Amino acid sequence: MKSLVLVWAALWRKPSATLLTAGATTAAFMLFGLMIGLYDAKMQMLNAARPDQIFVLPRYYPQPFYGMPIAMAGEIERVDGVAAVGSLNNVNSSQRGPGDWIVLVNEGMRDSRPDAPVTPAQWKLLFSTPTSVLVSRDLAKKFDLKPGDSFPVTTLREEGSTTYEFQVQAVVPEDPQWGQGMIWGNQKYLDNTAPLPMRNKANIFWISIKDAARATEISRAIDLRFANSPTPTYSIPVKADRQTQVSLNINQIGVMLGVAGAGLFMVLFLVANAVARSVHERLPEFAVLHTLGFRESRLRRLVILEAAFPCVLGAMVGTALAGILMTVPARKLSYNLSLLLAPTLSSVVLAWAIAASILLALLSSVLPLLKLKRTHVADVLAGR
Amino acid sequence: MATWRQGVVLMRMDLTGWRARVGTSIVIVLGMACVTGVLASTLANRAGLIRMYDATGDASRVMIMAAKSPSEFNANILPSQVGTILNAPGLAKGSKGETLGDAEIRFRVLPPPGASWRPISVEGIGAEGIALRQNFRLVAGRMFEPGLHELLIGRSAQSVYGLKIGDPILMRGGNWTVVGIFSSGGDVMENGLVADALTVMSGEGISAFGSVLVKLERPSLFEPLKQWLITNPAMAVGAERQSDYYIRTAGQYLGYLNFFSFFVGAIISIGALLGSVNIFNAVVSSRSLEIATFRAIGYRALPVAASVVVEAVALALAGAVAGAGGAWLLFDGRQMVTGMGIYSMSVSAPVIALCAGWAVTLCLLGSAAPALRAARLPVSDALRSS
Amino acid sequence: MTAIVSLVGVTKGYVRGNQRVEVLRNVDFQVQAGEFVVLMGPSGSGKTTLLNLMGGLNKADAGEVIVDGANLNDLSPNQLADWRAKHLGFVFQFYYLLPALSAERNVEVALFLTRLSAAERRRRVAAALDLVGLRERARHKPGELSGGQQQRVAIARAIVADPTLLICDEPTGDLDREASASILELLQLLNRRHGKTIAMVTHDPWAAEYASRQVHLDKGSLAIAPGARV
Repeated sequence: MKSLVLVWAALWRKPSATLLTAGATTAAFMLFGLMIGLYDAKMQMLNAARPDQIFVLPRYYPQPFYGMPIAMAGEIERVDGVAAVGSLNNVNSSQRGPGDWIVLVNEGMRDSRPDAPVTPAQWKLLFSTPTSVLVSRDLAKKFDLKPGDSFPVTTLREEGSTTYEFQVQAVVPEDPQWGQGMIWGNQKYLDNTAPLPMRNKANIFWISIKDAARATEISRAIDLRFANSPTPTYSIPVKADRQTQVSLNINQIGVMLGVAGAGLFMVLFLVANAVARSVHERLPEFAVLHTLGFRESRLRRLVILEAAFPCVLGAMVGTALAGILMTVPARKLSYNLSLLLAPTLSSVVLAWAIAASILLALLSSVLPLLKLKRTHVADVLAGR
Repeated sequence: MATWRQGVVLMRMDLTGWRARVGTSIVIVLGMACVTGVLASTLANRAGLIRMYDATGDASRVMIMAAKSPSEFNANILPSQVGTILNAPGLAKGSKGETLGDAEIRFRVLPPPGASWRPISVEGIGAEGIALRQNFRLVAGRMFEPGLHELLIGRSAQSVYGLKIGDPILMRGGNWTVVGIFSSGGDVMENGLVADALTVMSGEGISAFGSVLVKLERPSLFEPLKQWLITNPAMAVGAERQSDYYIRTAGQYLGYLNFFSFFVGAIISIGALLGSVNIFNAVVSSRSLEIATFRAIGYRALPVAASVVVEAVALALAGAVAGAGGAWLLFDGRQMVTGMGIYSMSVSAPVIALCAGWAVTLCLLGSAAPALRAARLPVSDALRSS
Repeated sequence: MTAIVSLVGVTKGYVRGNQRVEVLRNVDFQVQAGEFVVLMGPSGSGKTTLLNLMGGLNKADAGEVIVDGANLNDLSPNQLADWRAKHLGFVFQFYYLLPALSAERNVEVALFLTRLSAAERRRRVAAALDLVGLRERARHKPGELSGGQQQRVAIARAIVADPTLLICDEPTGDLDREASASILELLQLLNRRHGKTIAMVTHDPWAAEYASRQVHLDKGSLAIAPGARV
């Protein structure tokens, strides 16, 4: 604690230089937080992906395309190893807003997504009325939605536009498999009110299987069953899909981590330069402390603490700014950005930021410490 | 001595005296290298994607698709419409007098187990499909035979999916076989499989084409073609230059890449800017005696300030070369696999120029206040304190 | 009287460029407890080197340096640091105060190495500043004090831990005559009234008059002042 007085004195010797260095470090850590946050979000999605679930998509889209017939669910259920089949559908909102996130699900999802963060009571609420929606926490925050609120969504189809009115029944936790917020509605709404060709259709079937080890085999079996039907499918195990995304995006991830690293690399030199300059200018002070009986280890600690200040302050403020940026409501961001995979400010990101700031402080102290080590106290005091 | 001559003398002294400030110079160069490296590597992603789209269509290649849902994946153009479309005015002719136009279809399939879980697109092309794509060449195997369940795979797709000649692809009606590997100049087609359009349509039970690709006699005939198609309301089709089509469909993604590049570039630049102000301040402080001496013997304030700025610009350019060079070494040509296709990152000349401009601007901003301080340095104080 | 500092056959040299320069040659020298001894001599005569050897900032190439019973040649760097904290107080020509800290904080820095409570540290700092006549300026930063006042703060810093020996290297070298006189009077007071042993380097014969004994150095050897003891 007593040493902090000396560190503080060193830092405020030239306040503008200290603040500029801390500012540069803050910017680097803001970037670091965002990039690691994005990386972490990708990894979280990968880790959350269930090995015992498969999704089924139509192989091509003859026009006009309304979706796969819901009756296919029954056929999929008959494939050996399938436990439950749920369906998902889009509403094709024509305006930007919560409508972009709405996915209408049928009652089968209750069993095909047993891992979904929805309680039995909330599932019941969702299927109790056609207009019900469950909104995940992040999106509820982004769009200022709470239970009881309602919002309209207009869809544009060849058959003309239709306006649906949805009512928020409950706010649920984020679904780790979904990754970027969700609004789940009731498929019955479309089935009751949409133009006839759009009723009883599914864009995706979500399937749970009894044995995760058979995911590939079951996917093939489903595709084979529909290979010669009017609606051929391609089925992908969820885990395999996420793993493919990560392995194919390895260069993107490389750029992301490269950007985070470049920011830190840059401030490493800025901090090292600032501390080296400060140590150089204060060599007589260090010499005096030496004469007062300060051991070399204590002087080294002072230099490292001086380097650590802008690093740790930058890590804290920068990560906090990144965190604030991550929670900016979607409507205040550009549309492109609001659809992105949101970075997460998890404990992993914080741990990385703290570790990086400590490493940065240690590395940036190396040159100043060498300078200090090479300095002879008597020479400094003699003005040599 | 004239101001500009004083400036030249000071700048020459600055540039030759950088050895005395080698530490701070290296920090500035590295800082700018990081900024330009980040900017260049993120912009290279977008530049690579656009290069792929540019490779896909010259200005005379036009896609004709259904007016209401203009996507090549939407099978909306009936075979009966194709003949009318190929009779449109302004279309180029081949060596045998045939119209350079081709009705095509695109859809997705899954590669065989063990290859990848990423769906791959199949492009069904007709008789003129190859003639329309001048960069097309077979690099291994042989051409598919119309009527047989045979496919070619693009070189980009092959490297991602790991498919080889002889591999089966499950489609409706059974397995299709990969019989050859082609290159088409790194364009969109190279991202997937190619087969005979009529054979895949009959096999898949698709009754309509997704698009008709035509070549104009010259690019300026695009508008008349568009008008001609609109004046045939029964056709219900629209025209779009092929490269424009891909850029439109990727618009949101391109916007995101642009935003990502400049957002990330801006944050790291703020860091570099604050750091450079700090360093240039220190440089001015360390040179205060030298500056005061010059001022005392009659040098004017402007050349003194200019010499600080010129040093900053020289360091910025060195940093930009290092950063863009590093990005080029690390990322140029690296394959990217995204929802928009398979393409190589491109640290192109415009990207490098933009990065250099960015770095110079940053250093100009970073050195402005210290340069002003240098110009206003009280000569007597500086001499006395030194 | 007992010798608090004892240098026996001390030789010390430096390497400058390719040449070795011998600054002290086979010097024998003692400082008795309670003495105020001044080291004089021309530039390069070795007076600061002698002072630094006594302070443990340099080690002798040959011979022994015994201060308050401890042979400094035998101590490790850490032991030397601890020893300095307990036994020595340094005063320099250029004060070397920490500009961002107040006068009292500057003085307190010397007590950071002790286990004293904050209250006790404050009490001792106040007493030291009182002794050097700067109690009212305790909250001022060095930039707000005159050269003489800054040197007084430096002296307070040197004495606050109650050292056995006070080493002063040209303490008045950067001050005008009036300020110098007050600093020298203060050192004399510390020596006479508080019993502090002081070794001071100066090249000013007027300043040397304040000491109880003068020792002259010339070309690395002692040249005893007329009528003085070594």
